[in-house]
Formats: sequence, C-alpha cells, structure tokens
Amino acid sequence: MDLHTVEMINSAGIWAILALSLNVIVGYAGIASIGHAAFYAIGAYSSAIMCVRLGAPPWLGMAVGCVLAAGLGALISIPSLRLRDDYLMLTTLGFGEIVYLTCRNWESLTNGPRGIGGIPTLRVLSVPVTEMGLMPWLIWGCVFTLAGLLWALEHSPFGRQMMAVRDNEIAAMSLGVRPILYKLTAMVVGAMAASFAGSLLAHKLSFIDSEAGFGLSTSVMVFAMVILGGRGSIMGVVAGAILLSAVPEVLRRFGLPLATAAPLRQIIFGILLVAIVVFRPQGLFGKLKFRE
Amino acid sequence: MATLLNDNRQPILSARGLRKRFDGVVALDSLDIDIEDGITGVVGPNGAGKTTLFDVLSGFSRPDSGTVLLCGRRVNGWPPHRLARQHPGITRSFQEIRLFEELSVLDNVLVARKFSGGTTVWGIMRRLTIRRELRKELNEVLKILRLLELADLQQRRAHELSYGQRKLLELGRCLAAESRLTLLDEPFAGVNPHMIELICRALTKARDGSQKAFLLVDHNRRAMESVCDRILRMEQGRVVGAVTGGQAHVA
Repeated sequence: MDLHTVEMINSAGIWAILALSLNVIVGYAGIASIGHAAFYAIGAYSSAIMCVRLGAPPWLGMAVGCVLAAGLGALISIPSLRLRDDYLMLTTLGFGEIVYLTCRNWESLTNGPRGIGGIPTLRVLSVPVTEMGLMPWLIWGCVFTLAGLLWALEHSPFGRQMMAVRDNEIAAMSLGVRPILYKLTAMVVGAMAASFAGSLLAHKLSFIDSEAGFGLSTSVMVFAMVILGGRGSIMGVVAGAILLSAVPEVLRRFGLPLATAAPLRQIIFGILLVAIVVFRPQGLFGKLKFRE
Repeated sequence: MATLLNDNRQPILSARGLRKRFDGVVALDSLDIDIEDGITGVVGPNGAGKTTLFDVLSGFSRPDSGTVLLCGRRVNGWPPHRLARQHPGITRSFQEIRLFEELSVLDNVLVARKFSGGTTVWGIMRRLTIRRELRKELNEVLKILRLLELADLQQRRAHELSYGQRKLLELGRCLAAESRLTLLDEPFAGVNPHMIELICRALTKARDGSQKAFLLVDHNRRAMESVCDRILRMEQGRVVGAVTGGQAHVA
C-alpha cells in the first residue's frame, strides 16, 4: 500500500474515535453537542505542550489531556440539565469556539498558527509507531477497543438508564433515575475519548498548529458522521467516519484540481446530509427512528 | 379533612395545608389528604387541582407551603428521582404518556427496577457489569408484562405500540418500580374496555400481592368505582369529601 492509502486509513481511524466519542454524548445521552473539536484540541495541545515544552513522556501528555477534557466535559454537562436542544447546541458551539480561539491566540502557550513542532513519535515497547508501520494497527486497535467499551456501556443497566434519560428525562426522574449522573458520565467519557484522539493526532503529525482542524468545521464534521452513520449505532458511526473522511481522498484520486475539489467536497457533504435526513433519518445503520 | 377509614393505622402519605398558586390561580388551597393502603381514587371537575396535587406529591412541583409526610417521614421539596428511589418511594404515571420511545418494551420496564449499589462509584461499576442482574430482574418484569398482555411485544420499541398498549406499558413501568405509593394520572383515559379490565386486574393484584398503594385520578366513573377502595372528591383545590367502599356512588 502506498503512503496515501495508509494515511487515509489512519486518519479515518482518528475520525472513527472522534465519532465514537461523540456518539456517547449525542447517541446515548441525547446531548446535542457541536463543540466536540474542543476536546480534540485539548488532547492534541496537552500532548504537544507536555512532551515538547516539559519533556514529559507521551502517556503523561495523554493523561493530562484526558483529565483536562474530563473536567471541562463535566462543566459543560451542567447546562445540559437545564437547556433545551437548540440552546444547548449554541452553548456547545460557543464552548468549541472559545477553546479554538484560545489555542489560536494564547501564543505564549500554544504558538498559535505558528504551531508546535518536534512532538515525539509514539513508541510501543520501544518500537517507534510510524505512519506506514505500526500506526494503522495502533489507531484501529484503539477504535476497536473503544467500540467494545461502548458496546458494553450500551448493553449495561447503566447504559439503559442513560438512554432512558435521553428518551424522556421526566419519566426517568419519576422512576428514580437522576439525570445529571448520566449526562455527566456521557460528557466525561466522550470528552476523554476525543482528547485521546487529539493526542494520537499530535504524535502522528509531530507538528500541530491552531489550524490543524480544531475549529467548528471539525465539530460539524464529527456531528455529521454520527448523524450519517446513525446516532446510537456503533457500527454506524464508524461507517460514517470512514465514508465522510474518504470523500476528500476519493476526489483527489480523480485528479481534480484543488480549486474544484474543495467546493465539490462541501457540495457532496451537503447533498449526503440532506439525503440522509430526508430519506433515512435514523442514519445508515441507526435504529433510532423516533422523532417527536 | 376527610376521614377515610376508621382504624388507627398510620396513613402511607399524609399531606397538610398544601398550597400552590400559579399567577393568581389557586390550584391547591390548603389541601389536606391522607392516603391509606389500597387503591384511592380522586375525582373532581377539570381544574380542581388533581394534576397539581400529583405534581406536588411526586416532587415535580414545589408547594408554596404545607408538609408532606411519606410513612411518617417529611419529604417536602425532595426532587422526584429521590422520592422514587428511596425505600418507601413514590412513582407516578403521566397524563400525556411518557415512554422511553427508542427502548424496547422490556427495557422500558427494566429502567424502573432499582439496581443494587446505588450511585456510589462502586455501585456504578457494578451496574456496568453487563446485564448481570438480568436473570433475576427478568422474571419479575416478565410477570408484569404477561399480566398486561405485553409479553409478546417485549422486543418491540415503545414507539411501535398502539395507544392502549402504550398506556399499559406506562402502568407496567410503575408496577415494576418497587415504590410503596404509585400515582396514576388518568390510567383509563382513551382505553378500550378490555384494557380497562386488564388495568383493574393488575392494580388489584399489585395491591394484594406486593403491598402497593395507589392514588388514581380519572374521569371514568364506572372503572373508578369498580377498582377503588375509596374515592375522594376534589373541588377548587381541596378535598371536599370521601366515599368509602366499592359500590361508592360519587356525589
């Protein structure tokens, strides 16, 4: 396989982790979040700053990212108790923008658009994880592990109660289910997994800057993957991630010049999303059909 | 205040001086009520405050003043999930049916079951173990589904059910919750005679078998008279009278 194909597989894997992590929040807990890239950015920058500036080992950077993301996720879950979907979307949108703008403008910490380079390559048992070598195995191993964990969550009583809160918060309360517990857990788990994806990205690229895809377009893209694949369906969101992340690569294979390919990509995303919402609102593999 | 039965048992729920007003409309006006074991009905014209009473008793709405004692314990101002979860708890159904639409019929009822461990970290870990509780819980829940003739539909999603079946499922969920007192808001509304019979049978069975007390609000007099052990009448935010006995005629 050539480098392009492997890169495509790797980046699809990172998108799949992001989509799976958002699926916990949107699919299981029913919190409409379009600020998910914030957690991705937190992971990437934690790894970059910890490793490059402080010389910490990669696992420590990842851990710091996960803790930070978990804390912020918990904070964001508080308004989700009081706000309706549309207002909550605005809140998460604002949160995503705050984190993105912080990454761009807090130059003394993040170097802003100039970026941080020299992020060390990951090593597994002292074998370096290279793009063509271990990287696809590592990333997809993480995808399958995460998918397995989510499957366990989905089929546990805890997950069932989380979905009960999603479907009808008031009824869940009347049966003794305390919504904040489930929303907070979903937000924390989703944030940590997204942060982990960000750390993987940082080590994979070895250079990140504020324009490496931590803004609204990434949040919307992940959200689209979840909706396209089918919220609440593990297989669905992974398929959604593969499909949508493959679109730009496929266009490139056709040899279209960038000036044509870029707008065409947007058009294809738009058409795909409209088609899904109209013809298959539950997503490609989703089961969640009901809409009030 | 209405005296319901002549013996000296402590009522399951006892409320005194409940007041609730919404923008000048007095929904509950110093309401006193004692709810004893068995099935208690509440009738009264629209706007008498029946649903407000339910909201206040189940913790969804805070009374402006007054006290609520559940088995002798003061529970005013408790949030609904706490009222439902604690031991002699209160569960309720809703006038507009509230189901977990995307979950299966079986899962809808299983949500109501309490799981060992509570909300501590350890408790959550235990609840994460995949459906380990299922076998034990399943039998209990299947019994309820069979009683309500929903057992064959257990894998269907709630939103696929007919109106009457949805109504039954909501009742089944309340029956599965092991709360001492269950508040049912219009359980007979829009339900066909066969299902009314099913509901009545399920209620009396739960009353006799598993020590559950019920408070019902409904406009279907015949069903209320056949199933209730006593019927209270509400008017303008107060309980104005009581009629005891199965053949009670509602004045």
